Amino acid sequence: MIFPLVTVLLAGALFLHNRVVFANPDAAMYLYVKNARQGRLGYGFDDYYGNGISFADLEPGDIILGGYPGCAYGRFSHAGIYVGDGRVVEGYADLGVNTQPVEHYREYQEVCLLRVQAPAAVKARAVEYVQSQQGGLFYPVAFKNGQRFWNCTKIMWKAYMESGVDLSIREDFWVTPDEFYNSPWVSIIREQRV
Amino acid sequence: MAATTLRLYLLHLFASLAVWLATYYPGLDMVLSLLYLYLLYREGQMCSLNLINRWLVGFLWQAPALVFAIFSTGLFHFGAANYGIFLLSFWATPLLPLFSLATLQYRGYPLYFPLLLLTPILLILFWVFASRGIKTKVNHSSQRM
Repeated sequence: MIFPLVTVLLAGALFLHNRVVFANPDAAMYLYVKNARQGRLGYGFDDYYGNGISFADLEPGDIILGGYPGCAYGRFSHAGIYVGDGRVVEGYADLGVNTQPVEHYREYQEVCLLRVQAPAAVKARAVEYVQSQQGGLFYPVAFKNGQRFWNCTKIMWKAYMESGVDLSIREDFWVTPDEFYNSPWVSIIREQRV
Repeated sequence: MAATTLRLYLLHLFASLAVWLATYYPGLDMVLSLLYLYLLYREGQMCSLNLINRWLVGFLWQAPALVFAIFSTGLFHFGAANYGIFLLSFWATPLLPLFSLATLQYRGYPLYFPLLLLTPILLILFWVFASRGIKTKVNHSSQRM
């Protein structure tokens, strides 16, 4: 009986601390449920869509978004942060926080490159931060709090947040990739849809 | 045997929910993860089933996780199989706070990944050996008598 009781107490505490989130119809949890009802589940229909976007002028600290059709949490399914030399740090369920070649973003049907409008020193700290978290544990429903559980968006949100740049646009438990797209802190370098 | 399996499922289900919610309060999740292992050990200690039935209960209890783990190996590519690793992550929630300390990487894979794949096996072994503890103790007592 201990865990049912703890579950109820924690759920109650979470609710009391986050009434704003529960009252927000645009919160990620409501978005997910709404899309799931329409048959959009998980990260969408993954495949190799072969978009032809150019990564030529990316700078360390830029954000890359990739989207599969049918994603449950918005237009974009995944996010990564460019760290230079054709590499991107991102979070995957099996690989945790890890470094991958940026070229793998060609597999997405939709892709978007974003530039964070922040001083170079802030971007350098963000890059340093994400690299220091490599090997960190991926958990799909990792809350914004804490630094032991990550998902693909939390790692870069936290990296910039450490320097006072909040890329999230609403009070929520989670950050969706679409929030980066809509953040006033970023400008779109280019985007493409296959 | 069915009652024991059900108790383990309920313990696991509520521990998963509690530990997940506790990750909102970093540190508390770790405490609850250790509490889960302690309660699982206690469940084992209270079990009076024979060894074969204990193994059977263990496999029944962890059957979903064994399927998720097989899907997570990447050998299968169809709808639900692609989400095996996510489902396994959810299933392993009670242990994730402990796994989160294993951030070392080997050949691009974090140490927690094999731990995640082995979660059902580790839990079955933990349960069976926790159960064996009481059996051994009883035997020793009876020998002394």
